[in-house]
Amino acid sequence: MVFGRRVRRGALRPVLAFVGTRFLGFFHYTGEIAYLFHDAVWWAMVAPYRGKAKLNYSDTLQQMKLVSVRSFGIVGTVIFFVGMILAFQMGYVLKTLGVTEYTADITGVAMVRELGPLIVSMILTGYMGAAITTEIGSMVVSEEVLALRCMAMDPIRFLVVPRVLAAMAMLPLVCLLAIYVGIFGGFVVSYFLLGIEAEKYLHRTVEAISFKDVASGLVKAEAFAILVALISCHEGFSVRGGVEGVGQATTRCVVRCVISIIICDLIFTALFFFL
Amino acid sequence: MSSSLYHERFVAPVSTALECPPKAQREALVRTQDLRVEVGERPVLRGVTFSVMRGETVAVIGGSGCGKSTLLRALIGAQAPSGGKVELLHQNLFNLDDEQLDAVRKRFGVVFQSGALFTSMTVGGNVALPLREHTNLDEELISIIVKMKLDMVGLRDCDDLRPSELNDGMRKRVGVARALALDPEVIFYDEPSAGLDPVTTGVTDQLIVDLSKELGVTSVVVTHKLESAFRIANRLVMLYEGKVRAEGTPDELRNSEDPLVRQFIEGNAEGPITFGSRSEYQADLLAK
Repeated sequence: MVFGRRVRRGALRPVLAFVGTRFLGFFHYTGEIAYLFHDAVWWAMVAPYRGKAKLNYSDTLQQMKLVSVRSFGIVGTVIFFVGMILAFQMGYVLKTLGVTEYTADITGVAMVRELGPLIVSMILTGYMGAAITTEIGSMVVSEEVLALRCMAMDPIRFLVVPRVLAAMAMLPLVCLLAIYVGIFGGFVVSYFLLGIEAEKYLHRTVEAISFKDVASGLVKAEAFAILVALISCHEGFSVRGGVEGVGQATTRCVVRCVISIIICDLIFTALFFFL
Repeated sequence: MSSSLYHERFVAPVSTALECPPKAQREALVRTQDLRVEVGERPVLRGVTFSVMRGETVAVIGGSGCGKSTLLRALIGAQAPSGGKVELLHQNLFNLDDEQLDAVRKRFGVVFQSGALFTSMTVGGNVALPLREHTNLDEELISIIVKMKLDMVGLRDCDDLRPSELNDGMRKRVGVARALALDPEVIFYDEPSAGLDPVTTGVTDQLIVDLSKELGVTSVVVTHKLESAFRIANRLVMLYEGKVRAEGTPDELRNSEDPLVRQFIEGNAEGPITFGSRSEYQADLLAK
């Protein structure tokens, strides 16, 4: 009675429709990604043993190179500066408490548990994800994907599996290296500007980081890798309407990857918090 | 880069349309029955019935937006129909499971309008791809077959080039070589001469005629270029507003009394085919 007929018809209905559509759209999209993951796993793990298809090793290696060697320059630079910034920020707070040496603990744990996987996957979303969407989207527009189907080759096996495998294999490795670089960034600030001794910094870092921290970081990196690869491939396949569609799909890919990574990060962080 | 075969094709005049295959071979490899296709909610094909016999070259002609490309996509199993039937190589395409459909796909080839070559591979890699995927041949034999297929389209020495290094006509011919890789029984051509200059169009048309003659392959050519269609086909199917408007040999279509067919063949602006605005022809009809 409070809302009355006028409010329900005039204002609430479009809002509910909008929220409902978005809500259903989210589940629909999650379902599509789950189907793609299922098919990719089938083509990668089941089909080769049934003699149905060979794995495309050369393309997988090429994608691995793209994810690792070619991206590490940018990943290393960003994570080095993030490590420095983190040390500065922590140093600023901890100095007032008289425990500046804790900068090493915080930088190390933050890098391993959170910032390493998160920043690496964010950079690779822009670097690898956008490239995958553009490549597959262009293939859709130029009928190459249709040509694959007409040659009795499944595009998921031919295009998705190599990219997912490459991301799964290389993103945790890149993440591990990035963690070292990030910690080194923190060390540079701590040693030269905060006056923490080198030996003390390294000792505190090693002491602070546990196996569980490393495991949680790597599990997150693996999950982000799968998400980025699947979403980018899916957005590539969904391109419609020519070159303009490729641009729109690339934008959509980056936005959806970032949102998915953040949601996934929250879930894993909560999971590891209670474990 | 160019082999003698290429020059032969390039210089020699294009021979006339093929003879109809002997009656013994007249078995329908492609058949549609009351085929209806909707794109979104818009009906594009409204009951198309036609068939293509073994060894025939059939050109599907019609104006822009008449449903030619949609028909081709339905014929190759890429566009599900909303009604009717598509039979390719004696199989009802849309009743097959994935494995059965793949088995049929290995028996036909498609030449796409843009060539649809994989830009990450060389020309040789593109032609070799179906062989690597679907046969257990060793690399040496595959490279011999690739050379043979490229030789058939006049590009014998181009196997190391990238698709980006080729012109439009060459890309289409590589597309033909790739479609031929598994020795298909039927080849579908999507606008094979679109965007090509007259000489390259002639070379491409001659290639289609030669392949049909030499390999006995059945061809379905979707084109809006009438010159090409009359040159390569031994039967034409004209689509108009999603239906078969006329069907027959090139001579039968040339001598058709149907004003719509006549307008299309003669390329007249005035006639029953209009593009939005009412023509004088329609005004006359309405006045009568």
